[in-house]
Amino acid sequence: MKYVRNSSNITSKIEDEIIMVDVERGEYFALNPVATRIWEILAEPHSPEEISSRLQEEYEINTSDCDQEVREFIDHCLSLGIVETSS
Amino acid sequence: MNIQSPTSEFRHLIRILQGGDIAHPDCNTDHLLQLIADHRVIGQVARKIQNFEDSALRAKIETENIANKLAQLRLIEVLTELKNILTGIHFVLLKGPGLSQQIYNDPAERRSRDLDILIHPKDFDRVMEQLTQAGYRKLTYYKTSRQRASLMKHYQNIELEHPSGELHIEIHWNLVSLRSAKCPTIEELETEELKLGSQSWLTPGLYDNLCYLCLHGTLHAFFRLQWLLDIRELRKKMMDEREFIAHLTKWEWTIYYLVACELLHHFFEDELPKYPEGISRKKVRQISQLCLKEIARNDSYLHGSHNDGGFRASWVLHRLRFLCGGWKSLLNSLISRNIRPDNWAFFAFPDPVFFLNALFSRPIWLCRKIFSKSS
Repeated sequence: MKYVRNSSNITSKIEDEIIMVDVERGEYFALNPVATRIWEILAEPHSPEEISSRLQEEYEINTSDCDQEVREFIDHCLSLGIVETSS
Repeated sequence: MNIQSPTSEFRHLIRILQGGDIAHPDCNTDHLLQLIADHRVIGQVARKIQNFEDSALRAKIETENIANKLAQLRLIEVLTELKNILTGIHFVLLKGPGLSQQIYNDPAERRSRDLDILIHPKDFDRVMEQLTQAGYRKLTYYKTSRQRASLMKHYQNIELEHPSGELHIEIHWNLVSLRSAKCPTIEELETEELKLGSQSWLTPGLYDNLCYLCLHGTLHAFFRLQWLLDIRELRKKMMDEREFIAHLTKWEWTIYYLVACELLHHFFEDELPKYPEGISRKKVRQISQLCLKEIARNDSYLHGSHNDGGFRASWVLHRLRFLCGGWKSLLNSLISRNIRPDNWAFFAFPDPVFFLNALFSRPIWLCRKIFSKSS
């Protein structure tokens, strides 16, 4: 399954981190640099495996840890409504 | 051209904005931070943060920048509310998050404290009704139809307070007051659509926004560096300067653009455009000098070495308007400055509140001024 970021959120970048607001719910989020990178990748639909392999190319990170953390992050984003499944 | 006695902090600020090193033993950090806030350039300064040697200052700027971004995102939330309140009303975003998105591709980069929207004058009553019903509170007071007519004629916007009290919105029916300069109506304005989140908004197109910022900045003597930086960025995005000058000629706004370019040349050594025939550089430089004077007054006021806090009411501004638009513009400048309820222009209106205000506020203000001078 592929995921994409929810375009209704308004974002602003501070150096390599992102803050965003969900205007419908009035909720604010801040993403750390790695989460920001995932968010940037999710501008286009991607599967967790694709995201994980992109991150492994860019950061020195263990494959199984990366896969798991990407999945956890996406699940968390799905629960917050800032990421959605791509149709 | 020379800015008169700028403080070392002001010179530092300019160096930061030029991208230079800021280490300096005489720099008073509090004054520098105050200048950054007053000129509303926190976003632009934060982008140069890698040049900062002073880690304490860097940390303060980072904190300010985050606070600013959150405040800007809150403004966008209010903007979305506003769109739902003003259903069926055609409006255009002026400055604020729209301009920030247009220039920096980030709606929260540019510092704004309030929201400005442009409506058609015929929608004024409907807008006011819908906003007051939604809990907004009028800050520019008018009561009778004569006062309303006077406000519409001499002024260009009305200020309202958000129900939460945390921010203000300005409803404009003209870009500037009609007698200050010729300006397009909302229908004549060339607009472009931009997306903030999932919603679409209208904002003046690149050329019209640049024109408006030059006009607005000059009429306020560019006392905020932010306006010059906006113009600088929009100038970089401009496709063809000659085409733009032709666009300016349509509204007789060339002089305002040239003033902005002279100031950018002064502060950042930006290239000057070729002066069109019929515009005297001497006059443009005279206006630019007045702007520099206002910027210097602002600097010394913050530094505590200037006693007159009401620098905006200065005669420099009136002189500037006279130079830009002649007697008509000067007259409007004098009238519009006094159209607020606590000023003497309302002496002429048959409303007891205004009458009492006019009767007492000005003489008291004048006595206070004379007394403070003599003591």
